[in-house]
Amino acid sequence: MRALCVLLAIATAALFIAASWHLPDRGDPHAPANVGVGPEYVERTEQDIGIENVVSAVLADYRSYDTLGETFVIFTGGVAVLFVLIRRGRDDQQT
Amino acid sequence: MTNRHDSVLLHFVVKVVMVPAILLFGLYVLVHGEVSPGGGFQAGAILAAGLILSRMSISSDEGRRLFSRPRLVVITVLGMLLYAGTGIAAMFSGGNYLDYGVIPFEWIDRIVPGDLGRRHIGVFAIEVGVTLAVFGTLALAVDYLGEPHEPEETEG
Amino acid sequence: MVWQLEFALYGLLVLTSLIALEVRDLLGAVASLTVYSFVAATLMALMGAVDVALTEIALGAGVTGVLLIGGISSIRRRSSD
Repeated sequence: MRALCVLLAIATAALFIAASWHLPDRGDPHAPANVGVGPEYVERTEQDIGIENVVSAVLADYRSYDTLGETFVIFTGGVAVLFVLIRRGRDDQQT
Repeated sequence: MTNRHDSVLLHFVVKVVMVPAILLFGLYVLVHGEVSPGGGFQAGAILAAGLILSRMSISSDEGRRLFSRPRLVVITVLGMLLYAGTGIAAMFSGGNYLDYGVIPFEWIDRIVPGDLGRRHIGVFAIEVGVTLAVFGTLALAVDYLGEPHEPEETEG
Repeated sequence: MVWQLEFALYGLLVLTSLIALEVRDLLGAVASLTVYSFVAATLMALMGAVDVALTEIALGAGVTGVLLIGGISSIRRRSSD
């Protein structure tokens, strides 16, 4: 069973390595990630927002709805954790 | 987990060296997030890490009083309200939600002049909001998780 | 130079994840996971994604470790398998 698991892990790793063989080079200007809307952001951030950090500009201004959603996800997770842990503390005190 | 350890060396290193450095770096990441890598999430996590470190090692009474649990809840909710309120403030002058360019506050022009001053202030306001929300959430979760209780023997 | 450094870091990544899986002491597993996050953040910084590296190092290496330590402090420390 353990030999099977190791074999499966090695096969998956080999699959990933073989699949990553044809990935574009790092920083390739013709890679699919760099020919879409990305260069537009890099060029227009300076005149649109005036912030040097393009990542902050995209996160906080162009895509601020996404950031709002992320923050609400974190907030909701914190509230859920809070309710679970508060209930456990009260049970401990009663018993 | 949040115990008080009576070691002079630990008190010195944590109180004088590490926690001020971590908190200062968190504030730096927040304020400098527009020109260097950083931003709200990172700053909130770093500030929470500083608070957690002081809770885990020295656990001073002043720190517990300054960031007590109700206050942490208030900080979290204030952060979310600051984010959402910045978006709503832009709607009062006819803009879209979260469109910072039309925030209707005259005093912004005196602080950051120029066409893009309102955008700077808007981005900074939501970064502060994210920082407060992440800081409060992480500190609250670790604070409740670390409260002392008996380790229960569970089967399975 | 950077190529060899990245190769060594990838090896360290696999090594720390295997250690975290195999070690009996859960606290040691958490420490190994923290090292894993640190190495991953170093790799991200080498790739030029400094923002992601900062998030990884603050959340993955800092707060997640503390949360896991808080979790295993309320259960037994030794793993049974």
